Amino acid sequence: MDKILRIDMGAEGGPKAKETGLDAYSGLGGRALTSSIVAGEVPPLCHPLGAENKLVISPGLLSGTGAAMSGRISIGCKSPLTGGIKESNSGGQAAQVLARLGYAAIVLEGKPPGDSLYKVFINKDGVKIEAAASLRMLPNYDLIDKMKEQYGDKIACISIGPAGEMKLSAASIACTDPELRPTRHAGRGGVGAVMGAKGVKVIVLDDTGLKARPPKDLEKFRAANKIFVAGLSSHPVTGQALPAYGTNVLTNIVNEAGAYPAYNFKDGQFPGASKISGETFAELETQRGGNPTHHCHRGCVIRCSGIFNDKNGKFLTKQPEYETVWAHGAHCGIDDPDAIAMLDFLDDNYGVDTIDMGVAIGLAMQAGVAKFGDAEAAINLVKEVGKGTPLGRILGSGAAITGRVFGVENVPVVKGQALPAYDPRAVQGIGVTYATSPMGGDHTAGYSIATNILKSGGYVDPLKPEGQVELSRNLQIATAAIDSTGMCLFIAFAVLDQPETFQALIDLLNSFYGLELNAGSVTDLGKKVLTVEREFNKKAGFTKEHDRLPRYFYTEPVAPHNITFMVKDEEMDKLFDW
Amino acid sequence: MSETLAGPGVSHFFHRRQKTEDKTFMKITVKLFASLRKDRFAIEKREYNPGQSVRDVLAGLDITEGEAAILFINSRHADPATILNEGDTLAVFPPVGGG
Repeated sequence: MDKILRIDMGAEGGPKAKETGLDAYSGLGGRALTSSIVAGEVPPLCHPLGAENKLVISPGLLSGTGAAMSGRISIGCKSPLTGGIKESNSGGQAAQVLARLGYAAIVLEGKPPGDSLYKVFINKDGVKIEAAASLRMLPNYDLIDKMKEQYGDKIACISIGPAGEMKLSAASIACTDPELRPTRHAGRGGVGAVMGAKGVKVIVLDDTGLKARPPKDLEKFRAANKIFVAGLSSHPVTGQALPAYGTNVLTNIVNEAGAYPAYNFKDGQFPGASKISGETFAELETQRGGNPTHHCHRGCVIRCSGIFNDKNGKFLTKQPEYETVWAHGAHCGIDDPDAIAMLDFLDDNYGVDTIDMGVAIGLAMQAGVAKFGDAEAAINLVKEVGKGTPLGRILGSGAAITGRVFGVENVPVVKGQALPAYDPRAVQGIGVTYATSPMGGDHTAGYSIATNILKSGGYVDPLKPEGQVELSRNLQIATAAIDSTGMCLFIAFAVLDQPETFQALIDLLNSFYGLELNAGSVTDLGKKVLTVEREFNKKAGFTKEHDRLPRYFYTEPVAPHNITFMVKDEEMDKLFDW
Repeated sequence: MSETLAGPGVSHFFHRRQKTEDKTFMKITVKLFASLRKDRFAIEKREYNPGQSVRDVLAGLDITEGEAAILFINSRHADPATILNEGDTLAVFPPVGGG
């Protein structure tokens, strides 16, 4: 993983690939690398769909090694959704395979003339870029079937669906899972639109003949991995709850906490929550011959993914994630698991972010385009995206655009990106993360739910403003670092609670690279990443006034706690002072 | 602990006996989630003597305090020592996470 593959999509005579060393980017991976390249090479004022933007795809520092949980990939660019820097993170097989192929990053640069469309194939023998007009507007599942026919089933794919080709600002980039299904997505920020603008439909990766990356100190690496895996397996969240129920185990608890936004953030609890909870989904999946316990990439020991079969026992989609279930469920007043699973499939197939897509549908419902709770209407609205109708293009451009087009006042977005499944009034810490993250409205960037609601890594009262800025700051720093390692963020539940598991993570990095990092180095890396991202955003025109929630969260209380967001602006403005 | 909550693992089958012994019992809605539902229930309206705490309810259901990692009374975080009041809803979660 000591080289960068740069493909100039706008080169004369067709796309040209060249390999470079890491040079100034040496020692970086994942989000640290994508954000450094974007901040260092992309003019902050460029148009996100223009030739000056770059799409950077980077496995983490430990991806492609024998380290458990190391299969996360970072995809960065200037976001067409937020107008700021973006790192969108995905599971699936791509990170491991790309890392074994030796690439710390693929950088798509320039822009082809007209509407040319290409596919990129990379294996141990090199890189092939071919015109791919026959793949135009194929949904992800059909596309991957074609790739399997052509390249066999030992591949991993990174692809866009019709939404990406149409350059819709909620378009995602799909990564295939171990069964070669396009179920894992870099969903947020419209990264799929940037891939579409580069004219790349799919990147096919084949690591046949290549081995796991060798650590500098194999013995120490193996020992650290053993402790790391034991820590994940013995922790009740990563060893029991996540494998048994997946991320959607949160529906009941967030609803119980009064922080589960229903009917476009009108209420903090949804009457149909138990019908769409993780418990219900897991039971359905087991009954129908699916599986609630599945790994999204090889080497995952948490296995929070799952397989959802339809009523006839036929595969429909992966187990929809908590945020998806919320966005298409409670937010739209829908309590039918089968409808939500269908929406999840359609989103994956067309290639759109389930959060921005679901929130956009809810806003359309608010505006009277359909009624809250009408699952059939929701499905038809998402199908409009696949068809590329004007209505579909509006919805597929995300919540902010949809809200504006339909004249909705209460639009839950920050920096243009839809807020996910936690009401910031009932969980004040997550409100701070939504407001201040350089990524825009995002929960993973500083997941205060862990501490505010789940009592993981301590406890800060979710209903009070005190302590939330510090909590969000520490989590944003830790997350930026973890996102650079290729590790799944869910290791944090065990790492926050168990010092020996945290140490094992550091030992994995040290024994692999021959480094002497400590906890302080991890914090420094996180701060460095955030600083680079903030600087890019500043140059792109963001000010402290952009680090705020939509006004109504400050003025309209939400039941059952009947409170507003109370963290002071001045306090939030100090979050990145270090 | 009241006699109606005496036997771990079985007490919830007998909680209604309390009615005949104490007319001033409290009605508490108890909700259990995820793995705690196994061999128990998802939701029940149950009756307890006034002054009883979350800890008493957990003991009666044979749930250890380690298993009951997250507790809510009426949507607010509670502790095992919290005293219950008539009409309360108690929600009990094992350690969970996601996102």
